[in-house]
Amino acid sequence: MLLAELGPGEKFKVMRVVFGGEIGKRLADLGFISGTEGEVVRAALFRGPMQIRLGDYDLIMRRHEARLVEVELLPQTAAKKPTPEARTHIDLRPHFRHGLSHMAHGIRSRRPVSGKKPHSCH
Amino acid sequence: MQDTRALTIALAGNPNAGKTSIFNALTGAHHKVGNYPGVTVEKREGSLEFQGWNIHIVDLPGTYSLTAYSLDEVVARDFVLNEKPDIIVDVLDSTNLERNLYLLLQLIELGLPVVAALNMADEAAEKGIVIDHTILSKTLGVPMVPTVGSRGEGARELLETVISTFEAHTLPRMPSYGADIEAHIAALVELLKEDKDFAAAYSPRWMAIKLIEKDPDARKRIEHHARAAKIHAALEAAWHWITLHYGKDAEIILSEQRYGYIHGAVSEAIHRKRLRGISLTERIDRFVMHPIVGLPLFFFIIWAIFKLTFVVGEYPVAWLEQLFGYLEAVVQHSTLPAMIQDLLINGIIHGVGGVLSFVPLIVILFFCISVLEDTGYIARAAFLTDHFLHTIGLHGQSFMPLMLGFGCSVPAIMATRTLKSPKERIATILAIPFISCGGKLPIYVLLAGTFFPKNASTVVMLMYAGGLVLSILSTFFLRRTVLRGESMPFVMELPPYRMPTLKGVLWHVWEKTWSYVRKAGTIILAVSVLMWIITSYPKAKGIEEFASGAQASVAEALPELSDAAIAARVEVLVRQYQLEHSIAGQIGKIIEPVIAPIGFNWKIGIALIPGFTAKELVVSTLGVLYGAPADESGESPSLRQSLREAPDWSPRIALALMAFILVMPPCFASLATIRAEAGNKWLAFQVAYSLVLAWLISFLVSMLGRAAGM
Repeated sequence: MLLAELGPGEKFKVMRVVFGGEIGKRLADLGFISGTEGEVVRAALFRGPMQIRLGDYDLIMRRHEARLVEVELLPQTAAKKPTPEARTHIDLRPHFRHGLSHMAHGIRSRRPVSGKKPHSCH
Repeated sequence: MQDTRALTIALAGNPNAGKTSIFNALTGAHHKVGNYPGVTVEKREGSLEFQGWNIHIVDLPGTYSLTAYSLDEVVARDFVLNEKPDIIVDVLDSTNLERNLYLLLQLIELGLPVVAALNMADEAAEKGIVIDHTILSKTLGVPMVPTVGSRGEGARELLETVISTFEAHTLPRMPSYGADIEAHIAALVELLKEDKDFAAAYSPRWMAIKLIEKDPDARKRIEHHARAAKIHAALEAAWHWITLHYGKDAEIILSEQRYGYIHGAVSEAIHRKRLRGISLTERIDRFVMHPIVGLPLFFFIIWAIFKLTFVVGEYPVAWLEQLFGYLEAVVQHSTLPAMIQDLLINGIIHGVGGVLSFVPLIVILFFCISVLEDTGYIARAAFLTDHFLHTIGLHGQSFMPLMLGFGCSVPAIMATRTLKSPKERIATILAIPFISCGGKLPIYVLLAGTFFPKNASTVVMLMYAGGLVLSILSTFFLRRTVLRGESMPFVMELPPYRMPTLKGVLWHVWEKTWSYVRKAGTIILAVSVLMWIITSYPKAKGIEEFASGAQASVAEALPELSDAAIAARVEVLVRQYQLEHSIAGQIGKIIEPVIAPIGFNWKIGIALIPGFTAKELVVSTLGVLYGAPADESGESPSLRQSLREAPDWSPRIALALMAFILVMPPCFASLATIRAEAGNKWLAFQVAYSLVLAWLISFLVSMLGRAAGM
């Protein structure tokens, strides 16, 4: 499916950029590479640009450009529990943690917490 | 004993990576802004002395890559290829390292020594990103120095590393594209080396990679190569092989290979701690980019900026007006010959002073815009406005130039440089003059106040709204006819919110204000003198007889006036007489038949001419024509009276004149800026287009007014 078809909160993995030429190259240069993971942060209904989190940074793009990126929709992870764990240092090298399954390139993007603030623990 | 050695640094980096703050930290006050030759791309250069070295720094445009698709990127790479600086410093955003490393790899491929600054080290730490720069440095073969540009931290270490790297002549390791592609690259490099001159001018490896990447600029250059045909054949083979094995275009594959190389390099060097909670940026963006709240908030911010500008700006504007009044008095009491006095007062002080005295407003406006830019809000504003602007054929990034247009067209037109697509840039430039700049306001206030006393502010707002609507419609129309073309892709980074530094903002403001004053100031000075000439010459014949005749009739009609009051009135009448017989007066009479259908007479025709120097001067010219001596504000209460009583004026005429001023070509300073940014062809188009449109619209307004019984 195409990136333009996704809605807010949906996570994806880039399959390929559909067209080459200038815009295709630009997208590839910015990180739309096969295997990169991202998330749609914001997308107003049918209109206006989308905000995409791609790895470590955010960008905005029109639906028109988003139609040039073929993606695979990733299963949404379950609702986040407020985590005391979050305070520990997590070493993200590939041979760790089973939960971090999408480790294609050894990098994990920072996961934003959706919705409510996590219950703050002391 | 002089032992200074010199070296030149080319400073590169992604936009939003803090390159400017590093540049400022290194060069301090010693820098200047100019243009790269032949293009409308800003070039910043500076220098400093450090440990016996004379260091010259050239700030390259911020780019994400070095393709040939964007003017900024071409300028950056051409500078390195042609000017051959001694060393490149790449400023990296540490919070976003992989994408920043993408540019670094391409800089390495240019074949010069490279040093990287891991900037925003403080933010990275806050985000829980730990970068072992020793490992990364070893893997990439590029010395890395953590820096915090906004605080100037790391600058010294950076310079020391630059010097030691330069002295050691160390070159970074070339990134590898994988064994298979490297084989193709090697074959091309061999062929490229066969032309010795070519190989001396361009690094063969860089050229080979760009050729495989289908870089249009590289393709053009290769035509001059001795082995062009064989190279083409080798290229075809390479492309064919790549498509066969990877199933994708060679252009894209090379990008992918670069990122693959980067992932490999960083996996050992970066560790991320998982963060708790939502970032502050996201919290703020929930409001700022909210589907319902976002736009109203945006409009509120715009309104607040204008309000602030005018409220705070009042004070410095008043001071400047006083200053010019003082200068005028000094000249009047000096012993300079009368003609020089006249030139200085009426030509220069009134003309230039009238315009420069509103520079404080520009400065405050620039200040607010710079703060918005440095915080990162502009990207959000582009997000909010893009949909609408796209429907008329513009870009989300066009909104800032359009907004600046409410202050002054000159900085607004200069701000269009951020737009990369030429068609959209020109469309934005042409849209700006219809937006009522600050200079038009005094005219609106005068005419609306005189002829629509009960609804003055409504009428003024109507003019502003009308200008905006006209701007929108005009762009819509132009983008479908004369400037028809594909829109530039809208893909823009959304940086996290950052606290602007006072120093950073002040630098921005200083640079923008200085280039505005230099540009506008010189043009306005020249044109003011010109205006003075055409309104004061040729000296009207029989002016002495007229003066004494006027003296007599005024004294007779108003015997109760003091001698001083009579003298003042006579002076006004004399100036009127002079104006009528000057070149400007002749021009006014010549164009009268053209503007007559609208209902304008030659006096109004004359008043329009100084509108080309600066719109504000229309008011003072009307003052002269209608016998009301101008005071500091260029207007006087009796002017309103005179206009109301004048038989050739009516509310209808006033409205038509306001409409004409709204649409007519902008002042010479703006025209000069349009010429610099868009070229002669578009300048001519702008002038012809707005003159014709001005006539048509004011004619329409006049007819409608007549129908409405005004």
